[in-house]
Amino acid sequence: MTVPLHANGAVPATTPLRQIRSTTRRTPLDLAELWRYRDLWLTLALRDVKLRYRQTALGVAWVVLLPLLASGIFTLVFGLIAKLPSDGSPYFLFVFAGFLGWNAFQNTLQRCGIALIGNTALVTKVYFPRIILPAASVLASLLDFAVGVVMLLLVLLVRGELPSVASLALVPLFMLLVQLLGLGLGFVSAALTVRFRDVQYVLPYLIQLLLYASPVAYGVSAVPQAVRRLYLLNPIAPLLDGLRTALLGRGDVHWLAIGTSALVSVTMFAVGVLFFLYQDRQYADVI
Amino acid sequence: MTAGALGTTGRSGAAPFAPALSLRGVGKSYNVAGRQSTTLAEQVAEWVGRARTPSEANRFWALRDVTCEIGKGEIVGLVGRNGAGKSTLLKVITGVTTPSTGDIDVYGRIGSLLEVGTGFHPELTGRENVFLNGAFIGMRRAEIRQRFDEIVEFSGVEAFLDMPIKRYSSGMAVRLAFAVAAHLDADILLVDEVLAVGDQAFQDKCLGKMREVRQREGRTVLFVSHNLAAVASLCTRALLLQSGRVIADADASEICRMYAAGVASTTSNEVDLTSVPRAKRSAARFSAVRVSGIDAGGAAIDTIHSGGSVEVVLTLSAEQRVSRAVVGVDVMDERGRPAAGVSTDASDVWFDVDAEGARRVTLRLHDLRLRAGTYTLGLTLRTMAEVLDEVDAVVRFEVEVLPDAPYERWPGWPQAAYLPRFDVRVE
Repeated sequence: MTVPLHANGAVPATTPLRQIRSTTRRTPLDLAELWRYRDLWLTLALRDVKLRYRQTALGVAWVVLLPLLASGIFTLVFGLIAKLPSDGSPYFLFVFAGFLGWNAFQNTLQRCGIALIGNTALVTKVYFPRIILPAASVLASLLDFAVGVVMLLLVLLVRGELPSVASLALVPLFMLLVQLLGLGLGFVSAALTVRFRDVQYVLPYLIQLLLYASPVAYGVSAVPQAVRRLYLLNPIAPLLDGLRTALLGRGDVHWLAIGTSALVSVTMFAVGVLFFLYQDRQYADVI
Repeated sequence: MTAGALGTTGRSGAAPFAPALSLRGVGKSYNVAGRQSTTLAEQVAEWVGRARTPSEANRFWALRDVTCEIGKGEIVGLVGRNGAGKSTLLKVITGVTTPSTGDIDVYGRIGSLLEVGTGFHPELTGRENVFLNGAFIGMRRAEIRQRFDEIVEFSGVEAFLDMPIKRYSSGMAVRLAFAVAAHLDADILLVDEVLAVGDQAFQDKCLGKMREVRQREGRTVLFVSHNLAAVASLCTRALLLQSGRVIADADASEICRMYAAGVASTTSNEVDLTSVPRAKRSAARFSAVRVSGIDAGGAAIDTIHSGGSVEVVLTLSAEQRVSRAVVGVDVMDERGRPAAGVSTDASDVWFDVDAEGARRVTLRLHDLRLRAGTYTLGLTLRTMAEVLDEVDAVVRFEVEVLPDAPYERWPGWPQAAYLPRFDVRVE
């Protein structure tokens, strides 16, 4: 039927803008299309930011209050009671700086996980590159992080302990790696949650576990030398440690461990994207 | 160019044919035996056991072997009963879901008019939602900003732009949604049953906009509606779907005639009510119900037309003897609001049912002037003393508006389902 349609030569056969084939297994990674949809990413990311504290009495103040509360509790439990060392900084600032990096990682991962199942109506009714949904969670995490960094730097300024520019310049690099790792894991959990709702129950516990296996309440220096190598295999650990070192401007950056983490983060990100695209075809049918 | 070269599409005219959409053997199946969604444990058990390949018997084909070409600038109606595959076809074309068989080529940018609320977030304001909705259908922010005033003016909700959309009426929300989509520079616009909401003036505006869009910009429109009058007047061509297949592809008014005449009908179906859970045991209950339209000659037909007659055949069975029973039937609209109702005692009809006996009650509701849409029946069986049985929303049916309906205009807001005959005098 299709051949004679264009066979008279009068109509030049135009190329289709999109070809939908039942035979391809994986949704191709179409960067041009993602670029066309960049405004959707921005709009969704802004939606998340705007919605978070709407209809709350304290509003944006929560961005500041939540990490302060968490740091306060940790200071009480681990600083005052357990008396964990804080590498020379006041324990509160030490743990606050740790939480900044940790929250940026954890927020991205958790929001990614529910990005698809939290938008069921969209997934089943509208077409757009699905990967935009989890990817949009990055912006809110970064904004929270930025607000926290500004607060921390103000305090350090008052105390006359402002870190050097060279030290602060490392922060964006480490944050990029943290987000790549968070997104990579997030894409996988978003895709898995569509099929297995179990993931959304298990994930918070795994994240909780990871928090204690990461240098937030304590520094890497507090980890016994004998198991430190093993400890640094946790890819988020060197990154969080590096972030805190850069933010507070004291301590050493463990470059070898960070290099390994960078490799793991980039690989995880690529694996996450591919896994997400492999599952892409079934989201609308299974969700 | 010969007619043969155009295939089955029934197009005419000398303009060179440029395709907007090309579908070849497109089908979509779902696995109905196993649940689509499983827990991890179940999945692992399956992996350990054997590979999950649903047998052909467990497959449900929502869409099967659809092959057609739709040219640039055509307005094509999709007509068929609920479950015929109209919406699945649109989903496959947009890429929301992937076809199980076949290929589709899309020549141009697709925009689809979203169902009310789909692209909206209730907490965001009308203004923010215009951007969100626009972004979902693929508009750039700059593009939306540029046409923002036009969009708002078309929607007619200027006064509420900074109010969260959760406080909008559904009519206002759909107007805003349509306004955004109508201003999208899509080459191919997909419209799924949206004209069911909104008042007549707004519907006219939408239909006018769709015609204008087509004439001026040569855009292609795919249009799903149960409003046959709209399909006949708006579309140049229509596809008739039944059980996932395209069974006819012709001129829109021809398709509407075929559909209205019941070509697409399946055998009239009796619904078994014995397995519907009830709150309590009682002496007698409904055991089955059948709903069908009836034509002027009194013969049962499968389509129910607005302004036509409907026959409801109820079968009752009793465990114990019931005397002086009454049956009531309510017709409820999509939101469960009663639109029309009858009861046998209104005609002073009371009847007895013997123990272990059965009765058949046939009610004919005439001149049922309902707007196009889906309706359900609420059935009541009672005596003077007590309600014996109630069955709500188990039976549903579609009401269609024929192209030659005895009234031309259909009031919308407030969205009453029933339109009585009326006279009007203005002094």
